[in-house]
Amino acid sequence: MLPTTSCQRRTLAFALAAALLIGRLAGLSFGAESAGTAVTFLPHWIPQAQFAGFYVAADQGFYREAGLDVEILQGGPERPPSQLLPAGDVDFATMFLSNGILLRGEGKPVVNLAQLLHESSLLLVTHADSGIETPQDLAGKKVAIWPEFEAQPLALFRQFEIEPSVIQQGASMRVFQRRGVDAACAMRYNEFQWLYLSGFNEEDLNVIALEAYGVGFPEDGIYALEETVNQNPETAAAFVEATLAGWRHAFAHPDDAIDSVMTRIEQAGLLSNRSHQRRMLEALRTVYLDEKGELRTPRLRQEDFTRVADMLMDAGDLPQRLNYETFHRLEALDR
Amino acid sequence: MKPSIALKPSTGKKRSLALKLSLIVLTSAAGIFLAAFGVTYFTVREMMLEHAETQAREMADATANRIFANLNGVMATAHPLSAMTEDGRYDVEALHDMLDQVVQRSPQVSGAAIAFEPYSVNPDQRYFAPFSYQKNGEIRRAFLGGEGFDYFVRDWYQVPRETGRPVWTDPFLAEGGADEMIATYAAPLYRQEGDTSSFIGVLALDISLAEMVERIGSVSIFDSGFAFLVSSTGAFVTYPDPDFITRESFFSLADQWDLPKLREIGRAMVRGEEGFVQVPARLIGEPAWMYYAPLPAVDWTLAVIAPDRELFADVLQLTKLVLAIAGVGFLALLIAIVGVTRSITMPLKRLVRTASEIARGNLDEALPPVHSGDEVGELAKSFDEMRLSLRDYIDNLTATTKAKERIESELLIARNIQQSFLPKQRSLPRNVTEFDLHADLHSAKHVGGDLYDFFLLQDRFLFFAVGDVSDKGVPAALFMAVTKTLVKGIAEQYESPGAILERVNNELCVNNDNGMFVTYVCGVLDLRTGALRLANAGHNLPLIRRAGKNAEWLDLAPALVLGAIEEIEYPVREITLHPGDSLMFYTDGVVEAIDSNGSLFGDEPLRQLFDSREAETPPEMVKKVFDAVNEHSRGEPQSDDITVLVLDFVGVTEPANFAASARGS
Repeated sequence: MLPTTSCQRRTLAFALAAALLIGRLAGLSFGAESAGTAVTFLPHWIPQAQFAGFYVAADQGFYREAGLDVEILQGGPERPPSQLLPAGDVDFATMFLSNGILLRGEGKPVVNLAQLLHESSLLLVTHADSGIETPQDLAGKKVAIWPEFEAQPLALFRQFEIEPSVIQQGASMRVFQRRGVDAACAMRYNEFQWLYLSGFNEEDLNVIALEAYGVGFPEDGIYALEETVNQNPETAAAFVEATLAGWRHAFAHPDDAIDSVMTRIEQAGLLSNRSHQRRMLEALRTVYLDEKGELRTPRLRQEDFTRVADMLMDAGDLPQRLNYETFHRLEALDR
Repeated sequence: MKPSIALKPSTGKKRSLALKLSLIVLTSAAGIFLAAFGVTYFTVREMMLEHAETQAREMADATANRIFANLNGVMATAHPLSAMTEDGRYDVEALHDMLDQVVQRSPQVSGAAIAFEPYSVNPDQRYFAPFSYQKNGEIRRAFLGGEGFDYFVRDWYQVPRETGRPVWTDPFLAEGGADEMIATYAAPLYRQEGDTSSFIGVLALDISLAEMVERIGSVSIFDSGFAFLVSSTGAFVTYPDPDFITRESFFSLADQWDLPKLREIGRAMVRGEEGFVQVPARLIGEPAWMYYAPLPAVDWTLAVIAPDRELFADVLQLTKLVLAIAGVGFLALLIAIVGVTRSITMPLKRLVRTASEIARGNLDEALPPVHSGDEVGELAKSFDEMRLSLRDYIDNLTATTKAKERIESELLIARNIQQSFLPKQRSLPRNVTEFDLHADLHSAKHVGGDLYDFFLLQDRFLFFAVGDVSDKGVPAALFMAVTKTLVKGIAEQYESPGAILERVNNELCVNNDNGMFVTYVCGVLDLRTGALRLANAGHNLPLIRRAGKNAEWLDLAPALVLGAIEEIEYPVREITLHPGDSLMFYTDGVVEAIDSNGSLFGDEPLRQLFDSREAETPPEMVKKVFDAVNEHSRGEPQSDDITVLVLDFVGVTEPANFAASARGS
């Protein structure tokens, strides 16, 4: 309860802002400097294997080889990219597709440079002995939902026409563990693994996978401001390429990847262990790689884009139709 | 000849007695020892485990009680309602005072806060959470909540709110140089309005675990055993290895090391169970035992772990000691057994060797003496005595056998001599055809007392006789020889058989200290006339068969046997033989021959046998009698000498036809 990390984070936020200001004054990669173009990247959550590709790209020198000097900032629920990116406080960030579309719908000029995860890993978990197995079973129950990622569960509720009582979910699964709620959100690669590493066996939990019910949105993607891409397409392209190379390397050398991840975790003063990160990386493998073990294309499929946009519009969150080409700028990066 | 004792050859493999005995005794002893030791070992082990478990449980109870004893009391002192003003508003100052008090009074409480529902205290203010805490020895005040610190989604707020129950957060490390371990205890607060109670906020206390951590950390069991705390998610709250603290859990380690057993233990702990289990060696580097129990009032687990090795160090020491003693003991036992068995087998081996020598016939080889005074010594002594007496016996036997052989050979010679005494048919002149005579004698022993005799007197008379000396064997044979000689000598001087017997009797009586006598029947036959004079000295009556008539007993007056009393007169009977008449003299060995039933041959059967004579010559007739007697006494040893004499009177023949009637001999 002591505002420990909060204090830390506020301090960090100030430092971040200051650094960005300086970086901005110094200019964003107009011409190659000896150290490479300095850019900042903000992951949309706290350091973990979810962002292994980025850490590996940095540690293995892919960014440097691409002429970039990338500073990877520390993300978290209290520092959402959905605010910092439009504000121009960071150059690149990751966020869910739904967040990107919503921002665009609000008129914020963010663009999707690459879609990393084409499938949703979002789950609603319940206790096996609660008897809640399907979305219909959630009617009238108490469900904890992350506000940052609420679009999909809300779409599910709309689809099944149920109105469970929703409370805001924090970064911990403790409310769920202590049965303060009947269901809670969990990422298959993160919180679900955390539950396993807290002693929950598979038979102890029921899982409602949003992807299975057609309300799965593609999730992680790389975003930047439109202006960044327009002015520095090479930089953007280099960042994306090096990041993809980082991901390839991460899955080919998982131990290296975990090392990079654990370093960032320790730097952030956070507590985690190799088991959790290893399980997270393995859970992401099936979503990042295809049957042949190759990294999937970073091209956002138009049908996915349209489906998500439509669902958001139905929810009333998206006021206007969006243009796919202006949103997804992978082609702009082709050299 | 040297006798030899044959020994049966030994069958099967030779096995040393020492080896057999050693094996049996040692394996039995080993078996008994192992059984006893095994039982002891496992019993002691169980006892030690129980003891360790009890110790650990007591420690867990004591620790928990110390820490959490006063908490409820502390909680009760703080309720925001007591800081409410009359118009339902909260007096902020009063709230802080109350919180200050709480922090002040309880050394464990390092901070206290009451967090209210959003906008509930001030409609413009989302966060309202007064907070008092200890820092650098003084109590400070603050307000929680704000941009970047949304306490509504924090565990300490959300869990009591959603579950309606107080909660202990998992321990976390506080900021600042102290690196203090803190856990928050938070309880929901309600306001009662009539029947409904509504949730207004959360009272949260930061509890310093420093003292508990220190006490737990200072726990030492055996040498390197220690205690540690595990959170409600299986994470290590305290642990000797600081890298584990709050980072790793039983589950993360189980996953990383691929130890399902460790995961199961973690799950049991998280379920709030109590247990005493074996822990995989990977955790502390060696196999260990761990006792774990839930701490009352919180969802954490206190565990106490000690290496298996140390737990049972005493038992292992004892085991080693006992095994060492056993080892030495067995060695001593082995030596003793070998020693004893050797004391048995060495003399026995010597006995065996000597027995082999004796078997080869060498009875002179003495046994080496055995002085042990036990059964083996007795055996050796008896064996040697046996050897000596055996030797003496064999020597005696040899001597006796030699003597016997000597006597045997002398008897054979005597037999021959006696046989040569007896007249043969061929001793008669060839030209005598007036009669046909045959006699045969079978003595019971080598030499006997029976005799027969026939010889010519003055070429005109035939003297023939059969006699039977009392007794049998050598004495009788000697007496028989004397008698025969006397008769032969005296018969030349007298014609009357009675006179002959008189004179013979007188001679025999002289110097007859032994009291021997002889029965005798004799006859003198005038060859020209057929006149026959007979005399009988106590002998069996002869048989006569007149030509064409039946055989009948020849009645002669009995007289006393020869050699008994001097000056006896012997009556003479005179008869006349006609050609074709025949006589049979015999001894009592014939008629008194016994068969297997003990019945005698008898007089009548003999008479009938003589009666049944048809054309048998005297030799054939004699043989017939002998065969009959042998037939009768078949299977029985001959008890008496047997003699038969058969005389056929042929009559006077033409003197000129000697040659014609001469029988070829």
